[in-house]
Amino acid sequence: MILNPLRILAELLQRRMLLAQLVKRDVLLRYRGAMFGVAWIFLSPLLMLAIFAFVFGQIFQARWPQLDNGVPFWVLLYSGLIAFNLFAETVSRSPTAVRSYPSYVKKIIFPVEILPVVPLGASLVHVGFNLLILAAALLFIESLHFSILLYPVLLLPLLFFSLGLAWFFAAWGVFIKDMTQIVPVFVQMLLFLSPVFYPVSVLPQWLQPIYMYNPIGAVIEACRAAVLGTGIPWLHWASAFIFAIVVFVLGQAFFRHSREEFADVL
Amino acid sequence: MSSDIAISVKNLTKTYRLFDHPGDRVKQALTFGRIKFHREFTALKDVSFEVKKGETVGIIGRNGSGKSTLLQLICGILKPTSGSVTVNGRISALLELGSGFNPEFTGRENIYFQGAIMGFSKADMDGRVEDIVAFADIGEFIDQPVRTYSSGMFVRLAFATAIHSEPDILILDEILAVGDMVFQRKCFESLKRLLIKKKPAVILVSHEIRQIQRFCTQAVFLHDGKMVSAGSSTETCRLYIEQSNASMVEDRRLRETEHSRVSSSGEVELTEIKLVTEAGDTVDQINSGEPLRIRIRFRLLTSLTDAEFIVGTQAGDLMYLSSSSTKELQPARNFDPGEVMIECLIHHFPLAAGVYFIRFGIRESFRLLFAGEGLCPFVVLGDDLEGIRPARLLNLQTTWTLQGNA
Repeated sequence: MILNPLRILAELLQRRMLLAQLVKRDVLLRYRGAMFGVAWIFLSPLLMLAIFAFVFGQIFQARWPQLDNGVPFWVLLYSGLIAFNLFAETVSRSPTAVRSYPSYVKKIIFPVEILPVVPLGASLVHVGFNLLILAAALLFIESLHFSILLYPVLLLPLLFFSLGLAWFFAAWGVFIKDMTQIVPVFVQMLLFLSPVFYPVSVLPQWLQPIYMYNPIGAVIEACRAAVLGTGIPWLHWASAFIFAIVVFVLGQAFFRHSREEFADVL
Repeated sequence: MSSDIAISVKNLTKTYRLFDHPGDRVKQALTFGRIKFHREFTALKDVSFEVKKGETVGIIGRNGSGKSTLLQLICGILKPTSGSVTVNGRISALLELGSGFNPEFTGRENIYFQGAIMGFSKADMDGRVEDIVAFADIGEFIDQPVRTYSSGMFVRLAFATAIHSEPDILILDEILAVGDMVFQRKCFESLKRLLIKKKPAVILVSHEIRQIQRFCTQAVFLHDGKMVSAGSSTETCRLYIEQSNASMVEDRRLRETEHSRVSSSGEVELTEIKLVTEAGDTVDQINSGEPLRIRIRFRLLTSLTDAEFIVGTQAGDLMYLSSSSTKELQPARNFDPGEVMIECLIHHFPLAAGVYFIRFGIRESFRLLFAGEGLCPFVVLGDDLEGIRPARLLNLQTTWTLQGNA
């Protein structure tokens, strides 16, 4: 069993041609035939953002006194949401990632382990577009900081963490159909449990370490700091990275272990 | 493993675990397999053979004999329950029509996609794509989404892509049956070219025994998951045809009551009907053109005056082929109640290879005492390989005269 994260990465890189094609296919197929076509890549996050900003900013009058240095609420929200959506999209789709391609598992010789990577690739495309929107908006309100360039790098722990979980849930999804129902609900719950709508600093003291050291919380906080141009909590980020790598390796190991039975089940 | 061996299959066994309910699998996993919630089904049992580079191997057997499971194991899609498969080189497999193709994308895009699956770079594929398009020869459909393709176009594109990837091992499962004759010939010709050029190992599954016989040097014959024989394709195919004829006879025998129609007045009880040799041994097959000796025993419950016996032969669909009667036999025979044995010898049975039946009837003047159809199924063997469903019924002695300018 391979437990070396660098080797797993090398194997994925070897398959980059196939991955690129699968991701391209995934993104294009989602919008093919829609009236607004690929414009939905922009439209859907903007709609989502508008609703969240209205509900939390206007109705609940959410205030972030600790961070309130003059930026509008939606910037705080958006900068965290982009990171969270990367996790949400990858993990929510993972239970069907293998399950919905029985012919790849049973009828052709195919590196099945890259199937759960495809939703990650697709969500990275979405992250890219969202970051462009965010940067453009920040430029417009004249609070764009150079540190936003760090954003993609800061996402790395979340990337590994999401992929590890995706492998795990993809394997379980093959055996247990209920996963396709459970996982999205669980991801939805995490949206409210993650520091997207509030900063970690408003939480009770005893809860804060849990938020700061896990890959979702740490990355959201770090990314928001990068957008706002405040100090990035590197220590928390680094420890989250280590945790994420562990999940990444275990997820891959579990997937490899269960893959042998996929063809028998599907 | 020596370097000229492409595939080595050793004591390969595949057992499926069948769970009645998806939750049972979880339950079993939670008990770490200590409590069994499944039934087992062995699809392949202790199969061993080797395929050398440049060899073409046919896999034959009836439906459900484990052919597809074997191919999936060789491809590494399934994991063996026990035993091993060792493969030396890159495999290209066409296991099911259209699998691995994305219906929404065009033929050309799918060629690149297939290439990516096999691990080729875009540059590699750029060099091959025109050859593939030319070979597939499906005109402007190549730039249409493949969901608009007919099954013939699918197979053309799939085969063209597979053969141009120049694999070390090529696996074809019942694929070529879809294409038309011209394309089939083209496929076999290109396979032969590839065999000369790159010496790949080719595995072919087909129900067309002729195809296997003509194209494959070796064959593996599977029955109920077990390997019946492996070796030269001529020998193995012959064995297969003999066995499938035999199992057809066996099937018929099992369902004899279903196939045979007997109406009796109640005065006759048929006790035995069989084919025998001149020496009196029971047989259930003869060679085409040999004599056919039918022995019938029955018990008479009444006495018969001026009895007539009719023995005839029937084809698989129960069409009447021949009928011989004792009517012209002089003097007329009278029988008392008791055991009667009659033997009918047809000196020369000219029927083509296939499965046939016996008809038998007893008449007393105009009264029918007994009439049986579809009795005693038997096999006629021919030299040709059309054993199961011949394109003709009769083998007639023929003399030819050919005239013309040479």
